[in-house]
Amino acid sequence: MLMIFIYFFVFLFFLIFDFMPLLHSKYKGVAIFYSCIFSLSFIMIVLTGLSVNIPNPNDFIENIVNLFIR
Amino acid sequence: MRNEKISASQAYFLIMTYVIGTSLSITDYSVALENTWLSMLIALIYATPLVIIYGSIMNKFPDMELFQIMEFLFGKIIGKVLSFLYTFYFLHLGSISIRNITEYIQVVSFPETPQYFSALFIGLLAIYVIKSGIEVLTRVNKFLFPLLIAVTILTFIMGIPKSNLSNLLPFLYYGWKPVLEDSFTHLAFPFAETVVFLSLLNIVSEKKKSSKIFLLGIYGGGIILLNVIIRNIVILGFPNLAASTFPSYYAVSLVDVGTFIRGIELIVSINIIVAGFIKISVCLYGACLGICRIFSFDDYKWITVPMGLLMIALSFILYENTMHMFEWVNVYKFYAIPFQIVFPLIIFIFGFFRKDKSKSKDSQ
Repeated sequence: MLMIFIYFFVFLFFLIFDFMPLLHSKYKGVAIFYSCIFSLSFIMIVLTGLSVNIPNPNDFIENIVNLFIR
Repeated sequence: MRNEKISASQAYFLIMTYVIGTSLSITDYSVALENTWLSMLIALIYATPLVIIYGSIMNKFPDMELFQIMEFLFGKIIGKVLSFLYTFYFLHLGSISIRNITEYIQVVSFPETPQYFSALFIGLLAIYVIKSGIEVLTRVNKFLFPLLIAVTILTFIMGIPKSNLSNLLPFLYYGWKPVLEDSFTHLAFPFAETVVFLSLLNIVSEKKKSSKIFLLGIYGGGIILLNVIIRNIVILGFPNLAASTFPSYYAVSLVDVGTFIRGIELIVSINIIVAGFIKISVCLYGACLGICRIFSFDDYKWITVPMGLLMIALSFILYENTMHMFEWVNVYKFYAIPFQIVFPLIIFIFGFFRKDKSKSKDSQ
């Protein structure tokens, strides 16, 4: 829970001081991409903080490597 | 899009630090044992033609970076698909590096401190430095690089009284097979990881010097790593070396001069964290630039924050524990083959023919 709490403030900081100026600029495409990746990161951190198992890219990569090499 | 310039010396110092990067902390000694130094040397020989190919790609297209070259050679669709793969690779490599450093910090220094705490600070620092621009990173690196060299040389010299040269023996007791196998691992991690610099060297002010920059970078970094490996082997020896999780730290912790110089393992930790931070920052830069090219954004600095935060978030879920991290190197060396060898080779061949075509057009 402490992890979620700490990261919440980090995300809040970036939301106010990095995302808001972007939102008011002409770069709408960047703002959409920003919000998607930003939300994804936050969701991943919340789920990790709650000890929920998230699909790990390493397992997927390992399966592919095993398919070809071993 | 970018109006940044770095000098050739800044570029090869950056490659040197990048090569040292996280390899300082997680070099694998369990395959080649006493001959790990030899496998590192062979890996350096393997890496030579590879980085010459990287350099030749950059020399052929001096004003383009990797993502632009791929779009130019393979067209928009295939180019963007390859760009996406490379972007994922750089992002993943950055996450792996963050995790290597946070595992190191937790195991040797702060066992009670959760990894998300150290990951946050390293990640924020990388975000800040890339948001400030790649020139800032190269200047920071040029300032910190003498420290890395000084610490490596100092610990090597101070470790001489504790060294036992017989730890380097027996030489090739199990033959060449484990040495060659291990050298392949060293090639994938760290030498061929310099592929990320294909997205960076187009901003070097001295054009057509990329091969030289790559070679100087990997040889400089390789010599430092070789120095570290020999130091660890002669001080710790086997089986102590195989039993320690982070040998550099434990080897230097044994070093003391008289009764007044002790605890110098802390400066080794600083070395590892600084070099790791540079590596993470370069990976973050590559990933941000890739996204900019895929989605045709104007400036990579706008997306540094979300990409950096994603890198941090990804680092939490990569490994279950420290042992899993070490074992995954055996998967990584195969996973990295397409990005480090296959795709650059294809780009090099296609680039070679594309240039010939343009030449023939000019002559007509």
